[in-house]
Amino acid sequence: MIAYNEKDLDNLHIRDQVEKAIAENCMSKEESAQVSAVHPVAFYTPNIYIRIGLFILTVVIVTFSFGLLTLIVFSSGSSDGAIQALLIIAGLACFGVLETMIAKKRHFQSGVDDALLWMGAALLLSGIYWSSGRISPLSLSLIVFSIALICTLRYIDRLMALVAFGALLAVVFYFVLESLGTTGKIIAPFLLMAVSITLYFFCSSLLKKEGVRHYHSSLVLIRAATLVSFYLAGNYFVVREMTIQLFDLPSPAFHLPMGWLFWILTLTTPLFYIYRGLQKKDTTFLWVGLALVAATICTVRHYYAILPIEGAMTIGGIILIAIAYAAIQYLKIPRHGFTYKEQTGKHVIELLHIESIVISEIAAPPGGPSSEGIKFGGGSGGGGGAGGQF
Amino acid sequence: MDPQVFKQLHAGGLISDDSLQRVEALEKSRLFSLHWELKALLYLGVVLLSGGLGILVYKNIETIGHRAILIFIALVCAGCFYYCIRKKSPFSVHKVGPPDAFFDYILLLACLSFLTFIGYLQFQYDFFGDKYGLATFIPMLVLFISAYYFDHIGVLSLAITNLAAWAGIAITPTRILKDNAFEDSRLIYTALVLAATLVLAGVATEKRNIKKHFSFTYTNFGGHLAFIAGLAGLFTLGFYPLWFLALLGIAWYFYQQALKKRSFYFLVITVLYSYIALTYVAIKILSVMGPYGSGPLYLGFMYLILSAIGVVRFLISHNQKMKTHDRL
Repeated sequence: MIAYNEKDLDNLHIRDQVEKAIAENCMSKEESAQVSAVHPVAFYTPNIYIRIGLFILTVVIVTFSFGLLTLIVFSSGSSDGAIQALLIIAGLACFGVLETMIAKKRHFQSGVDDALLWMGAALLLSGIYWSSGRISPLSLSLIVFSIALICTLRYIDRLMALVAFGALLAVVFYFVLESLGTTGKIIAPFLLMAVSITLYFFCSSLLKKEGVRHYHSSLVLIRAATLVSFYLAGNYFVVREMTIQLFDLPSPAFHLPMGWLFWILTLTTPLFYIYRGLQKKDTTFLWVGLALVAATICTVRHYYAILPIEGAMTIGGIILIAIAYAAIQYLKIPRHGFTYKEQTGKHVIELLHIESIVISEIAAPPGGPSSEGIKFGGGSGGGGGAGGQF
Repeated sequence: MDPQVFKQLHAGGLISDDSLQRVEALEKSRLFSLHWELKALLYLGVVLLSGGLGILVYKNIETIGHRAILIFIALVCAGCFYYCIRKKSPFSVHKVGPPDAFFDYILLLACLSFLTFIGYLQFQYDFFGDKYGLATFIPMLVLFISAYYFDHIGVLSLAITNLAAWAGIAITPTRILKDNAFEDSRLIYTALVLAATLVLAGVATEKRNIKKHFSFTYTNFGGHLAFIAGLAGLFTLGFYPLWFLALLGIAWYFYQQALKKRSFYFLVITVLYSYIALTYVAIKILSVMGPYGSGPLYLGFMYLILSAIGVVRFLISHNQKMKTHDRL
């Protein structure tokens, strides 16, 4: 089912593990060389920068090949359906080239295969969409879901898995709307929450299975996405706006039935995620929870602006700094299995000095002598206390 | 690490008992690191606080008065610098790590509040008058000194952007294309000189072995600036064959450097910038053949496809060559 050689995928996993072990000084270079000899990886997987370069160039090649093809077809005069047919053919051609690149040239996450996969899927989808005339949202989501699911299964692409998950939620949503009418509109949030929970446990159980080990990172990503979708399906703001849209209601006067339930969900879900993340030492829960706290604050502020924005920012900032400072001081010595110390292995952020580039961007000096002096409070300008300076 | 994998390797006789035990012991005692989470919270808190205070001041400027604000900024700046000077590790020409978790941020706050102070002074009181250059030169000097004295790459980036601003060029990623009037030949030549200076600074940093780890920052800013200025010359100044040759020269230099340092990053940016220049020249030549019907159009498409395939092959073969010592 997987296009890539599975033996190579397994060996790649072993090699990754060995590299980590070497970084942690757990084994010797000689042992690593031995392992590499017994578990060879034949993939062509270049460095990340080469991958980006190859991705861009492949997109250029596909785009202009398609352009040339269109030019040839249209200059010889053609009928209406030609462009749609051309899109589908070009999409299929992309997948054809992709298969050969994987089989013959052993490309794996090389930028070439990434670009061909996404260009192929996009061309195919636009061709189908265009040629099918006015298509219902349900059928469209179904088509997207099928293409993304097949691509995920065959090319183990994480982002495709995410697209497939989003499309699946859309399928469920439009299905209840079309088949159940008003009842569907009312139960949609609960159904989406139920689907999210089900998928969460489904992914968790799959993650334990040896047979689907190559989908590990896709499943982890989908699991994070189910946490987000559960929150969003129960978020007061989302549910209220959605209901107004679906029932064509006047916006300001509308009072959401069972609003209290959605308020409870909005407020408690992120806290539960953070608690769970700390309790189980699970990064996914922790990060999603932290991000969703921000979403909850925005939701609350949308309806109850207790403080003016600057007051809220100042107080919030002080609280955050206090929490972070206290936690860092507290965890200088590891406690309860937590530490502030970085894990070994260099982070990409450090390697490229991204932090320093961001700093220079935000705190950039004004454009030069041509601009008249320094403008006060002008966003990124060097002047004044207005605007977030760093 | 996944102990299961190592058990397998051990069973296959590929790793010693000792190695397996070390892996298992480490995994058992593994701590959960909250480093990036807490750092992110700290960042967010600082951004919110400074933003909130900024708006507060902005709204109440009449009652607070400019002098009070200036004094406050000066106090923050002085306090932060005082902390840094007291806490810093002894100076060395090599890399010096920060003494504690907050040092880097406090130094950054010191430098940023210094920039704000100078900017405020110039805006509100016209302190430097017409000598605008001085208002960027002084911060630049302070920033460079701080960067070397305290060993902070972020401050070095700030210093370089200030150096560029002093020369009249915006150099940060989002503004380098937007805020510069690249039709102006003087600006292009200034940019080229600045780029050469930065690249030379990078080389000198390595040769003299003074803060060697700063070299990437210099070369990165210098490289992008050189290519963009060269492309701007190619697009706007006329005599395009001459500019094309100049760009080839720049590309050759960075290509050699990339090979020497085995830097995939510089290899890819060199290739992409050169490809843009080559494509521009090719289209320029094809557009001269305008009167010959749609032939040149087809040729153009053919060129784009074939050349891109060529560049892909070039990158792949170079990747194989350099792979032996995989680095940045």
